[in-house]
Amino acid sequence: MSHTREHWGSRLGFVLSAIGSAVGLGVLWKFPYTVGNNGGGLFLCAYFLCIIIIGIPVLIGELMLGRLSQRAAVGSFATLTRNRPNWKIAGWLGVLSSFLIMSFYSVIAGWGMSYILMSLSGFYQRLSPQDMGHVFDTLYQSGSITLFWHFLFTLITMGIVLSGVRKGIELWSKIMTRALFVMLFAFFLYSMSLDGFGKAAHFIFYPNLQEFKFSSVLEALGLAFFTLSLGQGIMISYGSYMRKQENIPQLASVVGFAVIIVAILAALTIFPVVFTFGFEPQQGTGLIFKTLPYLFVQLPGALVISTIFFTLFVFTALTSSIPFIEVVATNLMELIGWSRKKAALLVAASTFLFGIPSALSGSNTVLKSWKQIYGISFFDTIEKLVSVWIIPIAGLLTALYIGWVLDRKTSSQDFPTGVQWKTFFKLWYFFMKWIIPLTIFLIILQKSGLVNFDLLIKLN
Amino acid sequence: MAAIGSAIGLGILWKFPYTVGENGGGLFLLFYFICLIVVGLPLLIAELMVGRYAQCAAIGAFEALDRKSSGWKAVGWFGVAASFLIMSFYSVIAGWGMSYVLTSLLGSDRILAGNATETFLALVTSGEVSLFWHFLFTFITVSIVISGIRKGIERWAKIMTKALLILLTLLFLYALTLSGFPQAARFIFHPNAFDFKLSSVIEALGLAFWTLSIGQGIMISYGSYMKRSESIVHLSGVVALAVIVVSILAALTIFPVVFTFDLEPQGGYGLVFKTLPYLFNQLPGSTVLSTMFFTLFVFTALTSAIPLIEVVASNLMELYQIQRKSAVMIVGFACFVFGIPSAYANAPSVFPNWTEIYGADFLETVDHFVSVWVIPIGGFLSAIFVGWVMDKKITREEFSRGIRFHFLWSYWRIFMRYIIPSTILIIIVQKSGLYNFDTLFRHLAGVD
Repeated sequence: MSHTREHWGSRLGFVLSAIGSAVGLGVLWKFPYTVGNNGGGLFLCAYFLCIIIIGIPVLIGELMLGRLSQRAAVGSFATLTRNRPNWKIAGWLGVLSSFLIMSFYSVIAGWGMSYILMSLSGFYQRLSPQDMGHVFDTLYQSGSITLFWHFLFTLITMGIVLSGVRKGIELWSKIMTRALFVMLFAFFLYSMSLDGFGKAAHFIFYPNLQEFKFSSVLEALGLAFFTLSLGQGIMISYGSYMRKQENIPQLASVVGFAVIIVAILAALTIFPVVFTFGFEPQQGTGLIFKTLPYLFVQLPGALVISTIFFTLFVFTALTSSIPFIEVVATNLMELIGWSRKKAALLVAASTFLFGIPSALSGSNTVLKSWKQIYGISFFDTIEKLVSVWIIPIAGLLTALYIGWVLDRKTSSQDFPTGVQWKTFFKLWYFFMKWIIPLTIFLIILQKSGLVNFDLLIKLN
Repeated sequence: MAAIGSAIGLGILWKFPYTVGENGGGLFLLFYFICLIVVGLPLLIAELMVGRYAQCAAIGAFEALDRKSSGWKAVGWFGVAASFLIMSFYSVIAGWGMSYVLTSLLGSDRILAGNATETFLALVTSGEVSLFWHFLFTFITVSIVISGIRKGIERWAKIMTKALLILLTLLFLYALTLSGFPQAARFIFHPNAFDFKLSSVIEALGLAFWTLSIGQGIMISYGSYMKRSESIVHLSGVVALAVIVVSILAALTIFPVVFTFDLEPQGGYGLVFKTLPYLFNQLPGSTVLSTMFFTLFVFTALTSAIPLIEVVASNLMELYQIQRKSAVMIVGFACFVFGIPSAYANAPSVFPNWTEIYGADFLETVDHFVSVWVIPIGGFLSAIFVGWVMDKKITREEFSRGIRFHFLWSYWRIFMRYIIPSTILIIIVQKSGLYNFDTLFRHLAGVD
């Protein structure tokens, strides 16, 4: 009796920690505003399809590559097939996206830190509800303050990576993740009581064929990869820490569905606020910061709730930013033979420097004509570049690598034994070999304008 | 294939079209080809030879081969100076290429639908953004040189070169269908004697040197990596031929666009950026084409930038006995700093009166200075060195390796001793205004 319970308990813990690792700013910050910008409904449908058809199989693939090779991203591709050195490029793309993401991630996490301090210094007592949305704009436009938090967050991340208190942080982050779920769920329940809930549910779930454009499928794919931390080398590193007996396909599926659930929860919390208080769903990067304070102020103890929420937000960001720095640093270490300390310091310093234009995007103090030349701010440029191009291409390469380059036996060995897994393996392998490359390829073709599926659909 | 790849740099893709455009096409192109074959090819052979025999970089090579040590290593210094100066603005141009990759990825409508000239102007007049890319490109080059992933990059570069040739051919085929094609072909191939001035021959000479990467110490370094069994003459011939073919291809792709869309052939150094977007815009999949083209453009630039940094760095190393890593960092940093005014060439915040005083912006001034003075003089000196100072036996042995036509050597030697030095000398004298051969030319032709 006790034996079964123990087994069950450790399994739940394991699944929870896996979910915790997958729920980052992708779900909390990027998911709501990307859904808002792309008109909800069908976009969400495309996102879910991308997670199930492409995301989960690629997640299995990345975890497997890491566990098989016991190396970080670049090394993984290099050691598994020594005679095909060009495939290392897939690993390098992951390193590049980790670096680029970290450069703006710490800006967002920095805003989160700023919101903790704001909550504690009487944000909810001092300001009228009308002004609360504008505070984010003021923060966004104040370059020096954003830069300050950007620096602080990078420093903390680097400090954790260097000091080896990582294990301790991970323990805390598990607790924090659970607390975040509970909180998010409570907010969701409260959001249900808002006037705008019906409208929000309609916006999120009603597939509006007219408004949907095929060209935004690439955004959906990028979002799926972003929320599952794919194409960033992170899951390869994570796989290399996994034990042999763990069941990768099962774990990946659980994580995939958990991400879907948490994402829906986040969307169903934020959009009712948007519609109740007359915001535009297309708020861009600041959506979560602009809307949630409206929710908090309605609740008793806004100060405490807001402080806790943004603390959890920052913690979630931290648990993702630590692997970002580590992925880049580990690859540098394996490659150049630097010490861990030197590599981590250098990577953190570079992401900080490269993040400066992102931090100053709102105040427009550096690279002033960026927006004029490229149409969007530096911050948005890097964000879009990573999630629309680099991550999907890295995913495409990973799928091609597993489907066509890596020995089939090697990957089948890493699958759990049993009849149902054998069938699952065949299906997964078929996906990696054909369906995923073709789908991503078609999506990229559409995006590049070679073939316009929008027109094709309209003609029919 | 590797040799062709090494020769196709920004020289052909970027400098060749606009220089031809500014000098009126036709006869200029003819002179360019003559310079390439008469002066460029023999000098390319000579530089590879010097490098392979001495087995070291430019300055060291001249020092090693000069038996009397009478100061010939100054020739090597010219190459190093040229490499340094070129790298300083090369990375600005390559940086624009990177910017175009980004613009293409972010959505074609912005760069392509609007006025391509305006898009380019918005980029270059923003000194900060140009500086950002200039920094990024220099940084990437330095990292590659330091980290030793050079070999990997070179393998990729070969694939990229092939892709670039295919893409260029495709674009050329499309350009054939444009209404401006006959006009462009006429502009490029019809020698218009009236428009032509002898004084622009030095531009043709500089361009020939540029596109062959000679007079920059690069080919000396390249020669030092060559195997003893390879034939220098054969390799040089292939490179020269490839440069001619690819440069014609590039011109025949760009000028039809110029004439079809009523742009100015004298578009200056932005020509390739101002014209090609029009072409991409006409084609299906403009995002992919434009992204691919400019990615290849940047890669090409990278494969030339790596040796540029290496040439300067290895000379510093040999001279001051500093570590490779610190030498590369110093050179990279110096190139970046010296390139700042070039990045700001079109923005008035650095050297606002430069154009007023020197008649051209900073980037143009440096480019012109290098290709009209530093490189030709370096070439002149190395021709004299190889023709008169270097041991006859050495050149004969190096020349004849791997080919059957040994008799070519004596012709080559005549070229090195007499024809090349006197040609370059005449061109320089003409340019310097000491004597105007235009008058002589007219007198002889009986025009008067």
